[in-house]
Amino acid sequence: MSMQGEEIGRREFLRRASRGCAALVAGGAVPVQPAVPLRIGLVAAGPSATRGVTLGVEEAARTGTLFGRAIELVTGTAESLAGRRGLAALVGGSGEGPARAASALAERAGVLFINAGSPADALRGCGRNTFHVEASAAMYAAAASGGRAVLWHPSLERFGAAQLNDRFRARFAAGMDGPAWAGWMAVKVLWEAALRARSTQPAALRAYLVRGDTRFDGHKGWPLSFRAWDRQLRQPLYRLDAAGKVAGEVPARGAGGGASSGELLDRLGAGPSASTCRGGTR
Amino acid sequence: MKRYALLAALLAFPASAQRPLLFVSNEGSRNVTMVDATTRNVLATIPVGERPRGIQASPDGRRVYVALSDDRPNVQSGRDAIAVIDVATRRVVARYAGGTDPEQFAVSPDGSRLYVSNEDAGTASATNLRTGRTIATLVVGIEPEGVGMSPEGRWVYVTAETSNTVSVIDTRTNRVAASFLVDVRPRAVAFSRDGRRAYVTNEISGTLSIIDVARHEVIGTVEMERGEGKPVGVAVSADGSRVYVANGGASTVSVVDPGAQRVVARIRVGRRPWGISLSADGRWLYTANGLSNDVSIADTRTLRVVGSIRVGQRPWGVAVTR
Repeated sequence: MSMQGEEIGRREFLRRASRGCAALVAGGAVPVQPAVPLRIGLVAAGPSATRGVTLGVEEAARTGTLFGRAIELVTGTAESLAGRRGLAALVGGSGEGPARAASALAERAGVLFINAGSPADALRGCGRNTFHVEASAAMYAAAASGGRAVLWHPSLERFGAAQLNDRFRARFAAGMDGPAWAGWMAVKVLWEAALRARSTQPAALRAYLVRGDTRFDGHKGWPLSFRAWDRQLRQPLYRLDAAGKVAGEVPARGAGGGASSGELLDRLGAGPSASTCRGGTR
Repeated sequence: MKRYALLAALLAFPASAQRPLLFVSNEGSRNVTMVDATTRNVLATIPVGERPRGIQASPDGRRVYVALSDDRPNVQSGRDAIAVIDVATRRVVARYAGGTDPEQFAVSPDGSRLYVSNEDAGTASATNLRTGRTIATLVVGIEPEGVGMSPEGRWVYVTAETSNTVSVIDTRTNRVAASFLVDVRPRAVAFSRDGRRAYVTNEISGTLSIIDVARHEVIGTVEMERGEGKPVGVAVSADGSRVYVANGGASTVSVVDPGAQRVVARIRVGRRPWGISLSADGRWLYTANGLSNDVSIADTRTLRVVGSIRVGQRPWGVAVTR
């Protein structure tokens, strides 16, 4: 299915994606062209993010068995990975420097970079292939209001959070923290893009991620999506009290009157007129 | 006088076969409320010990199946079970292993087989209800949730919340025959009575997927409540012309015309409706409202709520006997 140069509605898109996958399995036939694995390179990720990426890849592989599709995680330096044949995306980027380097390499190589580790505002809006599942510093600042805000917390329970936290704990004997969630989510958005777009080509994945009606479930109870202007994932954050316990969700649920959840989430961080990219390619 | 005559009739015949009854699973108070659907009087409150959620009546109306889980969602214990309530004696008379944290399930039309989703294990299991033995455990998507069986008993659809998938179990072979993608975070599944269509609610995208069962293929996706309604429960009218969806986040029921693939009406019900059921004649629609601790009754002709019944704490599901 061509994703570019062909305007199809979301429903038609879902219908086609569904038909393709069902036919593949129901028929039991080998596809005409063997499905190319989704190949992801892990770069500059700390131990927690690496665990999150690992869980994401394992879960994707499991879903892949239902559809005859595969995922591969490769490791190495950003330089060696970006140029690797068949690579669809780099994932990781702990800290502004490594994230900026990975972004630049991805843009040059024509692959995606999913930033799962740097909140630096100066990276937001840089490069058309660079997406951010880590929240921006502006989002954290808006959510914290004097205290501290996090992307995820091992004590979260609602909206399937307990199930995700339990899967992570069962796998690694550790609680899932913000960086771990970001790593897991980075793989999830790429994998869903590959399944829905029925492609592992970076251009097709990007087209799916930036579609105005694409939605993701991050087990946060809100429909999550990427902002068109800086490819930042719209998402709520969790405010912690002095003891480090979750004291609230920002934005507060149902606080927006008639606002859609997307409009509410856009009140966190930089708006459409304020791309904050500095020192990178817009 | 009339009331005494009714009472005499109730005492003279087994309640199950005579009058339609509602059974409501109350997650918070750990019991099941039994209601006379005609008079709307509560007849009994049946303690079940654990947290009850998914609930269904057998086709003959003599038994009610209810999924029970303990307080530790991802640990399997002897307290996680599918329990059977005998309608005549209003007691739990049997329990079957339900895997960890059983929530939704399907029972075959002849009452011989049970299919349950095991959320934590990422599997669905089939149990022979005559022997109590597990006869198959199948890998489905991640976080399997909704389970629905086609009316003739051939197909079981299992939704999986994290992988956005539906796995199709062929009950003749007890194998996964197909899998397909639906919208984001699929929850419940219901079939039309003629078995030609299935409907899946998608909580995070706020949509209903319309599925052609012959091809196991999504043929339409309908958005409800601007995609913000957090739909869960779904029920189909007997003639298949209307699909009713409980929007937990919007406290409404969306009435969908599946042929036109659009929402044709909206019914305001109690707070956080979750489970939803229709009376056998299709006239009455019931929603279990988790936050208002009641069941709303809507008239499907006028599409208006005509009453509500106070039940236990945090009602989850509602089943109707014929």
